[in-house]
Amino acid sequence: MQPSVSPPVTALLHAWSAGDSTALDRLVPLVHAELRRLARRYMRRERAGHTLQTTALIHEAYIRLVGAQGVNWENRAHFFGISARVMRQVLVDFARERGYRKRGGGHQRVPLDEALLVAGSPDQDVLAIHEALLALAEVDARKSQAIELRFFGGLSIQEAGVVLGVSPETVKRDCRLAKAWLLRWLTEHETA
Amino acid sequence: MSEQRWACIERIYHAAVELPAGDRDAFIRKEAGDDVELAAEIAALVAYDEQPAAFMQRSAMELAAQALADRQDQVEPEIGSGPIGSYTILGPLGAGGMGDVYLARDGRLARNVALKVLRSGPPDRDWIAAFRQEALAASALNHPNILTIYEIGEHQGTRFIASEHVDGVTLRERLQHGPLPVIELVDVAIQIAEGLAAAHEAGVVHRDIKPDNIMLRTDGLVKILDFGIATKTGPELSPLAPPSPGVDGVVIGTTGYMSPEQSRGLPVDASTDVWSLGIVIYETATGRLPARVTNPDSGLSLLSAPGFDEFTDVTPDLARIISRALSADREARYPTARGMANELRTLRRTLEAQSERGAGIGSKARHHSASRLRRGLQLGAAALVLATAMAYLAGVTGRAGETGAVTSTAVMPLGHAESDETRDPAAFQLYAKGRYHVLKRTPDDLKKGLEYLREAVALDPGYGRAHARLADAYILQAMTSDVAPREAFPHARTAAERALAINPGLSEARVSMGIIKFWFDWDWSGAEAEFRRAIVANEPDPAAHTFYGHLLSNLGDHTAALQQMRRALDSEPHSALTNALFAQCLYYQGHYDESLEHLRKTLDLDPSLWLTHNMMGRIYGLKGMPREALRSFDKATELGGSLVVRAAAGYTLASSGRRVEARAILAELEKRADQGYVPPSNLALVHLGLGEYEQALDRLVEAFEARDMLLTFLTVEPRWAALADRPRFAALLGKIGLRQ
Repeated sequence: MQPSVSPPVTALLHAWSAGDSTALDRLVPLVHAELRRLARRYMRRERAGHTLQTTALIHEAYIRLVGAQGVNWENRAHFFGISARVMRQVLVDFARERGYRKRGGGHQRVPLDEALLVAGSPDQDVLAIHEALLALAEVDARKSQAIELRFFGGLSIQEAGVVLGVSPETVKRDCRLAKAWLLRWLTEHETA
Repeated sequence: MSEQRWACIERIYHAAVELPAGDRDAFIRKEAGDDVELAAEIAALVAYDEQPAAFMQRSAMELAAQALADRQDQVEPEIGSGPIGSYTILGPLGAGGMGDVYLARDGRLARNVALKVLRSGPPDRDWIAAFRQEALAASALNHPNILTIYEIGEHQGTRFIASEHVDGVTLRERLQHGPLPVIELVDVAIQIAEGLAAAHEAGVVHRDIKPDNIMLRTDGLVKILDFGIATKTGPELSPLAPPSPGVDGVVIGTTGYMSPEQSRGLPVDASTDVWSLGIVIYETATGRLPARVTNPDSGLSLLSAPGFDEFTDVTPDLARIISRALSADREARYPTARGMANELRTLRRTLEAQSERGAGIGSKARHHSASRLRRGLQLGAAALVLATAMAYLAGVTGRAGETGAVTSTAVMPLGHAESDETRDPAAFQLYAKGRYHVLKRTPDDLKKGLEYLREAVALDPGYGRAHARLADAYILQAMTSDVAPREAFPHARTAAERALAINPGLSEARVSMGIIKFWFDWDWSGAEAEFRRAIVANEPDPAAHTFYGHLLSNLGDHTAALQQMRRALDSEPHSALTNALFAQCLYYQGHYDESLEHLRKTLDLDPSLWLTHNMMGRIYGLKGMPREALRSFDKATELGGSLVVRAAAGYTLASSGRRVEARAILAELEKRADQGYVPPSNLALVHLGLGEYEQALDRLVEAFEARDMLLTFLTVEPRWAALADRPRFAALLGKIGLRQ
């Protein structure tokens, strides 16, 4: 029963990479819905255990939405890129909602460690990282995206390289500088 | 920061972090030279690199996944997981405000449906009842322009709506390619208005008409979606910016489709849909929404948008219709969509007449739509790129509901084309033009249509649907008596065979083949088999049911004939053609009054179908009302009726004693027969009226030689009964394969 599943997403990916910006608007909800379905299933399956194979999530979403046959690296890269963006947006929305609920409205920072332990530094929160990435994108869009792919999309160095069209070595260097830049930005904006 | 400076930072930074910690500062100062700021900035970054950072060491995926999984706003059906009720999810179709839409398979009826899974709120049993009432009321209208809802239900807490799955694009998506050409726009508007009119007459108001809720099927049929949904779940209010205080006539900018009373939360009636349709037509014509202007005294009222003047010049009638629909005062609008549909229909006839005359405003209009069309053609290339994007929208398309009323389509069935579609935009354009002309059914249009279609299949010989349409056009040529059967049908057969070789399941080609076997080969069982196959492939197939019904009727099986005709009628109750042909079957069974009654209703649906007037004329004639009969025949001729109408008039004149006039018609037909093809049965009919039975039989023998398809009606058409006891007539019937 799968064949009718794959065409829309594959076709939209093609259209988007061919410059049709409306395709992205239609892709995001589809990818979002599939990621949500899978996430829910993963959680059910793995809640009792310990590690969540989260990186497998995007891979599985890809196979389910696009199909395993004729895997096209370019498509896959675009798909991963979109998935990372979706995940980032999910976290941002999540953080905003939590902040909203806690304070009965208004913007409120949500430390990551409270939500779930993600970053080593307790002072950093999702929204701050999101804002820092936006600022970094102004300076160097590729580095901002590299972080998005690695951090929010769970992509490996190699996969991020494919998405960005650069070597794994460059991804490593990009991330290293980007992290330093983000940390500095976060520190400078900490009191805000 | 300049790119150059950033590149510089990057270079020095990466070099520095490779050095032992103690050497870094000196290196940076050396590299930065005099630029102290640069050195400080790099040093700061390097300092952060030295932090024993667990920062971002782990991906946020787990958190994101957790956040996703915890969201309780919707019960998610899983692809390939357990079914929802009897529906198995096949894949996503889209996501909307109310929930996601999936392509699903209904296991009970083995058909694909669009399954909308609604975001669940608090458990609400009343919801289904409340929703059912209005949505089903609309759906129960069974109108071709309203999406049919099959089921509204709940399965383990998941609320869903199963509806007809439409292969096509929404008007919103279509508008992304720019405004529609006027003639096409009017066609779409008529169909929306027709659907709404039917709903309004049943007391149902849509309340949320907008381009997103209008689906353009690949074959040109328009479907209104989401009936009754707006009411029961609350409309997704289009953001209407508050008026800036204290300023008169402030242009608010982009507004939604809601009527003034609706946007103010006042009670609404059918006229709110009229308003929304007005906005939709405006947007479809100009590609823009009209700006709304507030006036502190009168509240909201419509106003102008750039381009409206130009538009008013080109098609003043359309501008007038829009203006009336968009009256701030609802009393001034069309009370229901019916009035709007009627005026749009009149406008279409005017536009068509103008484009034929090619003069005055018409030529301007034509120029206007031609320039749009050119733009459309340029978009053809873009469409090919988009083709893949819309791949899933393509698919098997039925041709149900296709009557003369659907005159145009330019929505390319894009994408992973079915074998009978084309990937070549040029071929598609030719096909669309050809189809447009063919559906008009006049001899000239059929000629033009054939030219386009022949070019389409020359460009793409594998274009099955174009071959099928070509077969259709040749058959129509024979039907309008413009071309002799021996000339038209062999071409029709070749085209139908090609179409079926490309896709044996192409039901329209199957029906064409059935008609060829019925009317040309006089191979009744062969024709029956084709119609049955078409019905199996595409149940319900109104064309197949109709022609099968006529075959059964001509063979004398009236009960079975009516059964088929009723199925055709059930699937397209608003098609004038199907209704007229249904009435024709009643007539052949001798139910004249019933037939006449039905024909009168058919006239209400569409007064411009000549066939209806012709049928009425025949019945009046048999009922001894020649005056009424002749009036009907005149009307039928005026509307483009074929020579058969003249012959029928000749018969009526002759049998009511006006023999001189009848002879004049006979002479007219004979003269035309010298110049081109006139079905010999037409001449026979006038002789019959004049009581010249032997001459009538001579003409019928000629008709036999010419394979005049009207001979298949010899036993059911009551007028021929006068010849029943003549041996030549019986012999002829025997040769045709008919029994008295």
